[in-house]
Amino acid sequence: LLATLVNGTGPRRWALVAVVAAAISAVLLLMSLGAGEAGPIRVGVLHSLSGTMAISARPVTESTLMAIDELNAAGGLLGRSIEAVVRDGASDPATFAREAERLISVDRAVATFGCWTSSGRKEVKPIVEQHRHLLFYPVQYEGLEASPFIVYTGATPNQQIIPAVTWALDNLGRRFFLVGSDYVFPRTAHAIIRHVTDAIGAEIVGEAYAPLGARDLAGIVETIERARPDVILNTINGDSNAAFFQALRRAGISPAEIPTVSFSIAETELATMGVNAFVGDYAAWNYFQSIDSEENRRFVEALRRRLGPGATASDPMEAAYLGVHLWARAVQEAGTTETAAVLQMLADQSFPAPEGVVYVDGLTHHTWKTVRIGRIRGDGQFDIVWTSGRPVRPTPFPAYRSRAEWEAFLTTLFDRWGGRWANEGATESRRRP
Amino acid sequence: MIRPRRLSAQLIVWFSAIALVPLSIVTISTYLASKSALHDQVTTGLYAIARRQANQLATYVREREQSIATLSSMPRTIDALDDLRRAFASRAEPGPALDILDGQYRPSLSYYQVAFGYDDLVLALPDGRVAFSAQRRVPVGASLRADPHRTTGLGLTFDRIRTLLDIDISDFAPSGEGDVAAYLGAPVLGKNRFLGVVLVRLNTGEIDKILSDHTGLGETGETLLNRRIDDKAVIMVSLRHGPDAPFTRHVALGSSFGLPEQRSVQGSRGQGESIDYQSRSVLAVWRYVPALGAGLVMKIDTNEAYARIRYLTLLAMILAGTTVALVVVAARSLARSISGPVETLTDATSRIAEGDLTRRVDVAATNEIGELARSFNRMTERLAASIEELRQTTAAKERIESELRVAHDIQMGILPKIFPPFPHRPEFDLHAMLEPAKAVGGDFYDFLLFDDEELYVIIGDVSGKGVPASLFMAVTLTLFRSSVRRGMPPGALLTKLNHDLCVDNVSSLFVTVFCARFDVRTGSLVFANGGHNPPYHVTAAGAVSPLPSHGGPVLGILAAESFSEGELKLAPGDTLVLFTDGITEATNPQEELYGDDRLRTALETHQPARAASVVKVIADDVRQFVGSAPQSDDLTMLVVRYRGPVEVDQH
Repeated sequence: LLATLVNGTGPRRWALVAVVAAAISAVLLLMSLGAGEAGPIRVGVLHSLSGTMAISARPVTESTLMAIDELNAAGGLLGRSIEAVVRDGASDPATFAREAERLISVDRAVATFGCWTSSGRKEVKPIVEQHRHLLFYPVQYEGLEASPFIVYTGATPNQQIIPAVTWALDNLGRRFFLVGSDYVFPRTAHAIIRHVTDAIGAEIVGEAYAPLGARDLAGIVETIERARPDVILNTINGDSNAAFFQALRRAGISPAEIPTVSFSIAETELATMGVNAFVGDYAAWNYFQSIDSEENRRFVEALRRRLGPGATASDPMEAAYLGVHLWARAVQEAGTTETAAVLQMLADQSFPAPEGVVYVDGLTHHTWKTVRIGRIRGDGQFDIVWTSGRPVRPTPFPAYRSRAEWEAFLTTLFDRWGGRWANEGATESRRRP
Repeated sequence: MIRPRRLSAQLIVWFSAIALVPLSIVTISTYLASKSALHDQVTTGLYAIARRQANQLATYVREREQSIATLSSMPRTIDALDDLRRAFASRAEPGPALDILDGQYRPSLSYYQVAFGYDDLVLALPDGRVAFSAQRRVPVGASLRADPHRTTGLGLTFDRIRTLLDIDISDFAPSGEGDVAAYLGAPVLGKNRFLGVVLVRLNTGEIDKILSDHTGLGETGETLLNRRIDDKAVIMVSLRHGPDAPFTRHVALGSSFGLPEQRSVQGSRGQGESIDYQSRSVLAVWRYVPALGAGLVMKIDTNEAYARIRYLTLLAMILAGTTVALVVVAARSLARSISGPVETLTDATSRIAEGDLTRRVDVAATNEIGELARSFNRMTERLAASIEELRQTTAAKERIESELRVAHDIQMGILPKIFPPFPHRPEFDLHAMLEPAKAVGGDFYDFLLFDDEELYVIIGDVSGKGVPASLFMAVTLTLFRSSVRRGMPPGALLTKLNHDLCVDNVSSLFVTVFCARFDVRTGSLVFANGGHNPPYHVTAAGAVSPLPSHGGPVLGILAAESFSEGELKLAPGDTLVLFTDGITEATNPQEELYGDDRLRTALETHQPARAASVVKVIADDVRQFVGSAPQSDDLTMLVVRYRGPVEVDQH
């Protein structure tokens, strides 16, 4: 080669130079390889775009997509863009299960952001676990659950229900009436509330359930009128709330007389259902749109840019939004979208969310969240009347019973409803004896 | 002329390029890979330490929480709170009953406080009133839900515990007692009732102890805990190089320095190069510690962290430098081993070109170049030998040639060359010419006049050329001159010449001779021919005819030959033209012979009055015919023109 180079004439020498250059480029090319797979990262977004839950779930879908768009605008993840595949759970647990299976097996999503009702989540949970998939669940719920493959970015009972009950006792009165939709969340929430009221010396004067999607709640309101509680604790979900509050007001029950503390009514529901029937009542959440922080201002502004100047933000929207960002941070740190690696980086992961700092508890996969209680204003926003001021550790299994006892409690409900997580039969209403 | 420097430079450049390009690629890629690996190692190490310390902090907090959980569920605590609650419920103001209860429970509660390692222990009723205070920092009966306690860490923690019904810890803050303290508390649930809250005071001693473990953090590494107060990240603990740091040093959020501190209190987790609170470049790991509502930052000065990378860089540079030097030296030495001998050979070649054949090349190499040098030396030797040989040959040749020239001169010298030779004789006119070819030839002519009456003319041509022919011609001429007598018939003369030439003639040379005796008074001509071209007789009227040939043999072969004679009477105005075959066999560039016909035509065409003119005309004609072709033979002519008897002339 040396001799050829030394003795080589014009074209031959240039040919050799070309060969050397080609070798160098080949090396560089090899070095640049392994920079990762091409193509976008696919994630699933699974919410009820139709049915009774659509009113609540649609804005959550939007905030999820907004967070994904933010990531893409910032250059994507690991040099790849993120592609959201949106599927409709149609307010039906079986549909949720089917669509989850499709997202994982057909769409090849690496993670799914979705579910609202516990009945839906509990159908999706075994599928996610079976596929070692990753689900980000953005809604406050009854707890009593922990899955290594689900990250719960909504509140556990100790981050919403329990403080709301004790606060209500201290500030509103000691006689409670419990009303809820007839599925696993309200049932469990009420069970927990009973433990709390027992401990703090409050009294439950009545308990009533309406089926999911029920429009006629006059019977329940009648029961409440008879019981004359100091406070109504409301775990009704979806658009039944509009019917319930209208029935309350029709029956002449005002917030000043019997205030209601709701656990599933946020700004979006108020905007959809009309705020008038709700003004003066209370809700317990981790996030309110009225939070005064830099992070929240940016979040609300982004939402308004996306959905219009009248757009409202709500706790589940914020929980969905922060879930995407927590996932993104974990993926970024893991350098891969592979579930096991991402899970490892999700433990102890934190994010400066609109509600304040959220932190993924490594043991339970629930998040440390700030607890807030707000009073509904005429403009559909909340005045924050109490805040924990700092993130509170999630306790998915309240200490009043052992984990085994809680799981037995759930099994009883499941069995009573014929292998479902919701009572799809007749309305059950009972008064405490 | 080759420029040796250029070859050498080319070799160095290419050799270096070939050696250095792959080397550079390998070196650079290895360096980058190592640097990235080292960087990963350093950050991973730091990350592991951060994790360890964060875990230690979490463990510390969890242990405290477990201890408060234990304390809150101990029957003695429950009994104390239950009794105190009842006592408070019965009386609006603390009274003697409370003092009794205090005295009853103080020993055990104080014991718990010390045994669990707390600074203080407070029991508060569900409504916020303080029912017991071990160190009496807060007076019994004061309400934690009212000023001034409501907004303190104690009051806020009580409120959270009361509402959340869970264990809680206040933010660490300067206590006013010279330490940094926080209150940890738990709800006391006894007999299915929420009886109140047990609160204990903690200081940062333990935390300082955890954070002051600088194992693996080198000289500049340190761990700090800070928390957000309004728009500042405030350092909560003593620093390795700043014991007075707690709650005196802070970084305003949005500052261009203290970035890990800012990010940690804002709730981000991360790692990387950053600028710390002292505006120094650091490699940092930061994370949020929710149990303390604080940010944990672990950092080490970039300079120290990357010391090994800098060492690697230095090593790579030294290695690269050494390699470059070695490659250049090797390239130079190789270039010289190739171009050096080439240069020597070039030099030797130029010397040889200048004529120095003694030059030899001294190349020790055993490769092709050594072989070339040895071949070169052999070639030079052979060349020198050949040139010496050539020189000697040339010298010999030159000597011979000079001798030949002398012989020629002598030969020409013996021919009569003064014309007209007999200007006093009006009866005839004679002219002759011998134009020699390059080499010494064997042509000759001669004439003798006896008593102004008898003219003997002779023309001859010795076979062959060179010195032998020349000598033979000289012998023939000498014999002619010594043999000829007045009145001697030409036949007898030729017989005698032949006889004398044949004696001891070992050279096998021979000579053609034409001889004639001319009586200038009468014009009668007697002639004998020994194998020579018959001369031409040109009459005054211009008729040209060759003299009759009697077929006599050439001279010098056979001794006994006799020659017959012919006779002719020349009339006044007749011309006799004698010539050798150099005239008729003169050759032009087209290889054509001049020939007898051309000669006859030339003689017929030109009728000059004088013999000299005849010679000139024929010589010119032959020369014109020959043109640029080399003269192959002597051109010899002898012309006699008879003018007639003197009386006629006088007449």
